[in-house]
Amino acid sequence: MGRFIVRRLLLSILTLAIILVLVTLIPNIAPGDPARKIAGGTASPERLQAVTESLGLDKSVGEQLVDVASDTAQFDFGMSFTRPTETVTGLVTTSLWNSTKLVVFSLFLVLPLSIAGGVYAAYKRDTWIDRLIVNVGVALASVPEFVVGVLFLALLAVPISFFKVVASPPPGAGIFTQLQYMLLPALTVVTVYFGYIARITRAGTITALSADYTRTAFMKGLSTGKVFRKHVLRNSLLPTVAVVGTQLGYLFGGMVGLELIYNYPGLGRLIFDAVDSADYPTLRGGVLSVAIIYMLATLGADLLIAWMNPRARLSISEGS
Amino acid sequence: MKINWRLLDKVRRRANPIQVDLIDAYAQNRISRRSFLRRGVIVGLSAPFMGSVLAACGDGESEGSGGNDTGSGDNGTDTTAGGSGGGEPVAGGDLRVGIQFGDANSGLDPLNMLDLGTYNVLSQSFEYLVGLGTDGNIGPRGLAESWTPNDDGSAWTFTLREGVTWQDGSPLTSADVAATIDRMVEVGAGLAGVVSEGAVETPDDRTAVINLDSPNGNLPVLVSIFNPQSLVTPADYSNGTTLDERPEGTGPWLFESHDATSFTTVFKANENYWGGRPNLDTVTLIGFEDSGTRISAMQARELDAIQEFGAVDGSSLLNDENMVILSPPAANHRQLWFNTQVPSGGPFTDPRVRQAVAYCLDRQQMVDTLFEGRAIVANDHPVHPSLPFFDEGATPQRERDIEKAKQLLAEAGQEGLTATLETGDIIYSADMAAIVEQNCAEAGMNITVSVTANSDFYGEYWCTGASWGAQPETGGPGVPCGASAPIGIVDYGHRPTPDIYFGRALQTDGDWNSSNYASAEFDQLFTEYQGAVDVDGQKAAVGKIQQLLHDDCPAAYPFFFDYLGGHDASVSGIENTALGHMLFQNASKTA
Repeated sequence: MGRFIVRRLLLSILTLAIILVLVTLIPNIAPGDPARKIAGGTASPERLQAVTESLGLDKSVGEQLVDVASDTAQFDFGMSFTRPTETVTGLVTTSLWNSTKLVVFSLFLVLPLSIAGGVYAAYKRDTWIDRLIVNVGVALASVPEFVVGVLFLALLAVPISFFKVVASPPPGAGIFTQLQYMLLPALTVVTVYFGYIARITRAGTITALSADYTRTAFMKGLSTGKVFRKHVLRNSLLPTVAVVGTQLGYLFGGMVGLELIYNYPGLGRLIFDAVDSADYPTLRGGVLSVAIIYMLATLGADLLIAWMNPRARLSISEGS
Repeated sequence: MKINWRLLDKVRRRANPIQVDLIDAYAQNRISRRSFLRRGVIVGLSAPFMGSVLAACGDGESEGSGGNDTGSGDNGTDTTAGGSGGGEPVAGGDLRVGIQFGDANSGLDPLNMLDLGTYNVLSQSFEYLVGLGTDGNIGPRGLAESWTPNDDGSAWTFTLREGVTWQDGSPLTSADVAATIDRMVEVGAGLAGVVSEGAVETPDDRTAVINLDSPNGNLPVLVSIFNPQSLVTPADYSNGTTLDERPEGTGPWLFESHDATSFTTVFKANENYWGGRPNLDTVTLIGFEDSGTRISAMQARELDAIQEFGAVDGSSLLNDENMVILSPPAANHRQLWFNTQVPSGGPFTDPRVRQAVAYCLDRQQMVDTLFEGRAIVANDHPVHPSLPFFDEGATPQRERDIEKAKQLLAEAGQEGLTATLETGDIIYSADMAAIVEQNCAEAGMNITVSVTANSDFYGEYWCTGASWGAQPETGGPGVPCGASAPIGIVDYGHRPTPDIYFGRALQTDGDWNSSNYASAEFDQLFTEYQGAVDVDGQKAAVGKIQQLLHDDCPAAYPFFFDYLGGHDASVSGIENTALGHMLFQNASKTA
């Protein structure tokens, strides 16, 4: 087990290094000159040169890579290109914390709902309730989150003052006020992910329900509830855990549309703006943090699966 | 007018030649009362003084002159509009204002900022030498309480207000003003070619004399709220210092906090403000990247006030009876440029073809559909009719005339002309382009619209430095924008005088001259206009410019549109400018 974790972490560091190289290369391959963007379209050649030097863009690609690698190894992500008074660490930390709040709250809503829905649909397989859950889920998931977000704004936030247009709460707000402000974006995440997670859970549950061990459990006279708790869920939720693990990275870094619509300063917007304004240090910090989240989430999911499933545990501890 | 010659003579004696010229122009009925008042403020006449002139000229109503009043005039503060806002103002409270998300590139840098959101933030703590007057004009409500030009307008003397202090309690002095002007000169900031470094003399702590490179009749405008980068900062500030780095200012609001990720800034009332402590306790400016969300948040009243929205997107706010709409007069416009030189032999190098397009435009349709009437028809030059030197008689309004357009095209041998109109995806431009396409189709022209992301548009199709991005080298002298599209639409924001529109967009080799317009006649007239400090001289030059641009048609200017902002009816006393400033020192919430 320990060996497994160490090996995974080492692999992660390798992956992060590759990502770092790619992100560092972007300014050299992307169209346009970041120094020109930052200095402004009408800047004099002298000012342009000064900006280029201050950004380190006059150095060779190799030198840039060495600089970035040594800074990153010391957890020094530098200052933002475009907001010279802000450290990248500060910007990323603030945005990451905002995203974490929203993601955790969204998962808190969507996981119980969609898992219960999926399990129930499997249990009531091929009845109208099964079809309802599956079809509503597919319908909701097929609408992009920014469309749902705009609909929620127009139909809920504008007419009903309980729902908020702007998802960032006033400073010093208590936990419940914060949740109230984040409710609409979280509900939007629910609509997008409900169908997806419910269907995965349903499929896993159907497989588990038809397995021999489940039949044995029923035949030895265990109650339905006990069969589900002891035997079915442990197995049926394995694919669900894997899927949620891989989606976490997207939830943190990819909800740009949602964050724009609800004016919420999350990590997705930070990265998007960094691309837009050629703020490469911030882009690097943002992308690296999403990559780290992604890796931790998949590692966590694997460990959870190992804990839930003895067969997986075995293969892990054998280190194959 | 029945003139009291004795009184008029008395006031004339107290004025310098430039001011006398203006007084005479009014006394001889050559300019309107409104033009006299607007121009009077610029050349440094005080409100009581202008009142005396009006009285001498037999015009009894002398109110509203100058701008020495508390600003309840035409800056959009309209406390009568709106339904339920009839309560009494109460002391204290927080005001939440939705603004544009500031450009990350400048940060809270008063000297290098470029966008409306940042203008709004910085102008809470810092102030301008020349403030906001009435009627969209400048006025002596900033740090200078008065100013006067010398006899030929080549040096302007500003007298600073007494009792103005920085946040640490030290007094504002003329040295701060001199250092600010030097920093502006360093980066351009609208003073390039007007003032040189070290040109400000400081005979005493309250007097700053700005010596110009050459006479200029509009200098106070260039150090006013209408040149946003001219905020007065302390002498020991430097180019690039930001407000969050070093909170400072003489203004009504003290910087409290700024969150860069949400572009949210909190200000608290300055107890020691020279104009008296503001009524509100705090003001929170919240940045929005999505203008639709900003409008929704205002609609839902999560905001008390909103900076800039479009007439069509914001129709819900315009129709909201509990909203007070702030719409100061503005020369905002979209320029439909024609490339007069490139490609060589191209259709728009022929003035008849350019005129043909201009004759096709349905200006009223644009005013009605793009702005729901909140715009005025323009006449293919960038001189707003409200300017004192606008010449009404210069040239008749171009009316839509499809037959004339067809005839011009036939003469030029360009029937069935085909062209691609390039524009950016900024508000109004693409919609306007679609109307241009339809309008021109009626004369048999085949114009296709191509819309590009605004951030790429300027570098690809408009006009830029010679080395911008993938832009090819420029075509040499007289062709500053060698790679600009044959026809396109670009946005221009409000300026109180057309100097920028003339100098950068139309003058030979101007850095924004996407028309590649190179007219010795225009350049000469522009020089005459800038050097003229007297009313007749300015009007004579501008009148000729109006006619020249109208006939030569390097670009079509179909309309000027209003800026739109607003606030809930339960708030009173907010003032704003068409450049996005919102002033809250007189604002209150009502019970």
